[in-house]
Amino acid sequence: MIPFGYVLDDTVLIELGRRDLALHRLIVSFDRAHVRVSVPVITLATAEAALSPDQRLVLRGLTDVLEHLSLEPVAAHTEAVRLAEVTARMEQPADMAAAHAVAVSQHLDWPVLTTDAGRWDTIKAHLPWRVELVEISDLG
Amino acid sequence: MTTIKVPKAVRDRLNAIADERGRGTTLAAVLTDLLDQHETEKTRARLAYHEVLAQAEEDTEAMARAQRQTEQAIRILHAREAGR
Repeated sequence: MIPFGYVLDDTVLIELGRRDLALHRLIVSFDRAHVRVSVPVITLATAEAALSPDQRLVLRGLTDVLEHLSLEPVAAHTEAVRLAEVTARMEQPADMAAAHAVAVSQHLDWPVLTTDAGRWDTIKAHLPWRVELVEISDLG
Repeated sequence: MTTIKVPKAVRDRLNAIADERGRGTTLAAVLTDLLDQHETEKTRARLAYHEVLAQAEEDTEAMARAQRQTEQAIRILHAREAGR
């Protein structure tokens, strides 16, 4: 197991729900290579809200089946504090899908994996720290 | 048989379902049904994912490309660590 990995953003989760086969190949390939991926639950909820029930089912199956995927909850006060620290620095109303991805990325010290780095332009402009992104197109 | 402690609100919701199902429906029966539904939903989700995965894996060239992308993703992670 690789001790570090990637945090999936909502652009990735939505496309996985929409059955983007290239993305499914990549994520299952990550899993088979023991690359860890983290899914922040607020980011997941936002992605699911953009999907049909059948598409959500695919996403739920994926999060259930992949061995090296973990869901990151906001279940304890420390997690709520981490999220609040990011949210407070964002343009309001805060983009909670991005906020939770940033909070988890900072906590785990893992980059955010995205299909669209442009989705992050506004977020990065308002946050006082660097958001480390890896765009899937950068992987070749 | 054993006992479980649940918040009152949960017990009330279970009782409401039992009432809807008619006299003689026990809370154990309600819980068993809910667990069965949960398992069914989980199985449906797994099947939905495996169906997409099977489609994705049909294209072996594309799978090889995904493996190369994964190797690049791993190199990026190692480079980050090495740079600290």
